[in-house]
Amino acid sequence: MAKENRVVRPFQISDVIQDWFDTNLKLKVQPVSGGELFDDIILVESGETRRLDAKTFIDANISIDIEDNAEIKSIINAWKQYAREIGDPSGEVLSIVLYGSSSYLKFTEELYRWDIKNINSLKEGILIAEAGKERPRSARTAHHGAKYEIVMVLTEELEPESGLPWRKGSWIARCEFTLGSPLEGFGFNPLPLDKEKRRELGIGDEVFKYPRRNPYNGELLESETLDDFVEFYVDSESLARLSAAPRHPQSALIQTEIFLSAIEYVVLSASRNPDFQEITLNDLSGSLLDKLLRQVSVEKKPEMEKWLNVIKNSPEKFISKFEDFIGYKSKMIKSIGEMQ
Amino acid sequence: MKYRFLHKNDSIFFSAEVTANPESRSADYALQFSIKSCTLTDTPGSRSESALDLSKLEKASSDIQEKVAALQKIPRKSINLDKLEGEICGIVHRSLKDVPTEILDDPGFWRFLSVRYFSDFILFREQTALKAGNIAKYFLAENSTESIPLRLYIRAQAVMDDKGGYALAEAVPEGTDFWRSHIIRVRTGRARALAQSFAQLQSTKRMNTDLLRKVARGMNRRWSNVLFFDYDRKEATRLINEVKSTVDNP
Repeated sequence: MAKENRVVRPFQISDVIQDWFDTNLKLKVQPVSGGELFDDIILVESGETRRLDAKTFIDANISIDIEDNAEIKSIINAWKQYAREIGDPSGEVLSIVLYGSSSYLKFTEELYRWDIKNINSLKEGILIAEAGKERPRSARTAHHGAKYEIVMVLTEELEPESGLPWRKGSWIARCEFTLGSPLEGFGFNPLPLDKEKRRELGIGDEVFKYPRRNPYNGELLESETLDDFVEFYVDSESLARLSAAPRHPQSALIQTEIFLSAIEYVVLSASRNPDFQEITLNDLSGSLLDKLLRQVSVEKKPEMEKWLNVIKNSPEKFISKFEDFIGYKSKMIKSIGEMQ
Repeated sequence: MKYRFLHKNDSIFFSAEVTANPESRSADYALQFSIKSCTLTDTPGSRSESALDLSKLEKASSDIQEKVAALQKIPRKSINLDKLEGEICGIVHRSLKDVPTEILDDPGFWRFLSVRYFSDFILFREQTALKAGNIAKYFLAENSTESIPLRLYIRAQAVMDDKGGYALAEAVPEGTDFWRSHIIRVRTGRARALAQSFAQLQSTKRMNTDLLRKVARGMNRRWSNVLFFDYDRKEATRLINEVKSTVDNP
């Protein structure tokens, strides 16, 4: 569907091409495990962010998918029409370019480019990265993810004319897809619980997980991430096995349980603090709790107020809300299904 | 591939230790700390037993330590800290150019580098933050514009020439604000010809802080409608001069 509330542009653009982008282009991620492609394909719409764990990101097939019923002919016609409007009947001053970029390593790379002569090949889709083969740099940033942008741009400078694009690089239509880290914002990195750490913490050999208030930070209102507030230890051998197969249904379930335990630790710590009763949403701005409230409230302030009161008075209800929010039961059923 | 990384809490602990205890501000303490606290890990999805070779960085690090040791003998007021960053960023980029992107994207790797190879430089470069008890952000690598080795790497990456030279990275005198606010943090730093031309112009026809900020703001505004990734040096220079003339004569 065409997007509303578009950026106001200083020159005439092509709504037809923008609509074609929005309607027909999707980022497709097909995870791989043990050399096999998984069937649970992830499709990312224009403007969306999807979060992937590092191993899935680094192994998956990543491509731009074109809708089956998309007509390349319609974009070619719109392309020619627009080119005529800006004074270039040949259409050669426009290109469609795919860029990949990393916000952490601060680079942008050009991955593909089409002009009016080879635009037909877009119909086949665009393979950005293929499992087991050399990947472009923007498909190797496993810890922070990447952004992929498809843009129609002017490739040459034209004679300036009011209301029309003339500067080289002016973009006419654009869509972007973001692959982020699953814990981005929450900043959760479980720590290995090995023999030495068990001794230091005074816990037995059969303990699987153990949360401890972060001794170097640990102030709830000043904590922006889970790591800031809690050191969450997980048996080192189990942690290594979970990391080796993150998308396996049982692994996904256990990772979700670990994450939920950390959230429970935070929520219960907040509700048990007598000063927390006086806390307002403004006090929480930018904090970990603010992020949790935003997630379950879909950024709606009245909902955030409501859930803040729930944390104060019935923390177990907030924990169940969060369990619902991250789809725990579905992961459980999928995991049980694997056992049959 | 196997490589060493440092957990965030260890990085905070190291920062707290060097803040509280001046005796711990030594290369030897940093070495011992990194041996004790750094963990060996694998790149995501890799089962290769080969280990990351950091011998080039080790050599670069000892060169940087020598530079810092020499500078510590002269009055701090006479030291141009940004010039020093300009001189060493190319060395850092060159010595890390074979490191896989998967590893460069891991903040734990930069935390390890910060403690193991750059602690002398960071503590020397950021003495004000150290005195204010605010040194941790330079070791944490949460933010790529604060982590010292990473920001050095990005500065060199932004203006490296086609032959792998880094002359422009050290061409702008007193360029702390220039690099930090107008190259590394903004999209200009990702369009190499534009970043090169901007650095060239600032080194030859230096704009004062006020004008520089106006020009940078003008370029950032243009980014919202124009992508400059395809510009060559000539086109980029013309663009910057055009922006400059509009802010000079609004």
